[in-house]
Amino acid sequence: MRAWFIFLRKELAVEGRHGMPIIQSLILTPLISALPLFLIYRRTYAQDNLAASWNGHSYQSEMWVGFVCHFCLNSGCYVFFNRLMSEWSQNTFALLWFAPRHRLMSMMTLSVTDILRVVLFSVTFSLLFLYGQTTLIPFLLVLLHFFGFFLLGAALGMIRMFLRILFPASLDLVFYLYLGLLLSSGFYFPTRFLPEQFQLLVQANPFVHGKIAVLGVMGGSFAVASGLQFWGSLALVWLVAIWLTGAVSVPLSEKALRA
Amino acid sequence: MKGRLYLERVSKGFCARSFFGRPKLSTYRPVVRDFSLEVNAGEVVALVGNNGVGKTTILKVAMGMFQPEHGKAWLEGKPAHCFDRQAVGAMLTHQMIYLSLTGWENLSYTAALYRLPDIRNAVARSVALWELEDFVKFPVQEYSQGMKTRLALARATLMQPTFLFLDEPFAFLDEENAIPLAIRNLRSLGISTLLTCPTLQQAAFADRVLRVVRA
Repeated sequence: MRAWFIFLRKELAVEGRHGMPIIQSLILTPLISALPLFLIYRRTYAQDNLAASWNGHSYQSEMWVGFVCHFCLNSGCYVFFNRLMSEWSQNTFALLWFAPRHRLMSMMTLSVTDILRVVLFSVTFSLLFLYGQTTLIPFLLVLLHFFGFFLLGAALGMIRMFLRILFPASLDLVFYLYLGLLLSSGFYFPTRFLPEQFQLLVQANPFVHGKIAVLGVMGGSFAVASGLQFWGSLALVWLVAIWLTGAVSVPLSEKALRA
Repeated sequence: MKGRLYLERVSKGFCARSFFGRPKLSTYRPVVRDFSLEVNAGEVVALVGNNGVGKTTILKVAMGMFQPEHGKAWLEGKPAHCFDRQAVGAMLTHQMIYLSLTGWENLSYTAALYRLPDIRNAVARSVALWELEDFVKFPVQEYSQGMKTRLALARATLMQPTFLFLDEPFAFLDEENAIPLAIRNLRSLGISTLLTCPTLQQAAFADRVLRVVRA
């Protein structure tokens, strides 16, 4: 436990060794993120019958859920990716790489502030939500899915980082994949407006299934197939991330260190 | 096999790169060719030579950072790329220290990463050994280059490894105090060490000195 406290302290000091950045990082950001979401919720839906509003077919509900999903994905993907790349550019990455911990755990130590931030965000949001609404279990299920989106983003960020470091001459394919998945996710506009040729892509998109699962829970009927596809995709992406972290050893680290 | 390193006819070379990063094979230049070395437990071996003759490349091959094109590298009884990471300490040219952390925080962080049981005592011992007491509470960005090197040496020896790799450890140290301190500590710790030095004078304390020449 003491070790993780040291990791947290180090991460906070690396981010900015001043009072305000630490307060901003740990308190203001989660609050500022949670409050508008709550206000949007209150303004748009709290006055209506909840089950009727969250039917998964309303444009507003899709956009609102899409916004939060995108927020969680980006938190996972970019924050983690940037932190790892910063270690790489500061030449301190080798310290993590050669530490006698599982490399995945070593990488995770870089995300302790982000994880804490997400926890604080979730707690703040939960308190606000419960203040306005009383159904606990569906809400926890929704929160779990949002956390799933965060984890999916983190895994994609890790894969992107490793590929960028190990194959610096190649295209940043994961970014384009991420962009494609976002555009066909229905976070910005309902996917039914997409041309027919894109519908297959939409069906294969884990973001879409995650969003459908969230909307299903909110509407009072959990979409099991979509939920399974979402969590299955999450497991698959994490397997790839773990494989890249663990199996990437001599030949690839040689390239990485030379780069 | 603790504290032993074995390199057998190791070769390694590099190519120039095109604008798009492709290796230009016609420019291939061997840096290390048929190099063999054995370091026994507790022995300090220094590689001496001019810039660019391959001292650091040998060090990185021995650490498993570079895969040799030919030959074998064994560290602690295992192939060099899968050695016991708890047992090896290293100080490379980039010193792997965080500038915004204090010296103490840097050492604590390394101790936590290496799962040392009593972090506070381990760090205090290392600080005393490398005489960092006056500086250890300051952020590293305020250190001189020599102090950074001392901190990096303290970090590399903090976990009491059985094998130590040091790339030009005396580069920024003063001859009057810091180099004798570093030599005294390296000798007293009794760790098997492979280090690189540009001059024979700095390497004179080692059990064996190998002069590396251009391949």
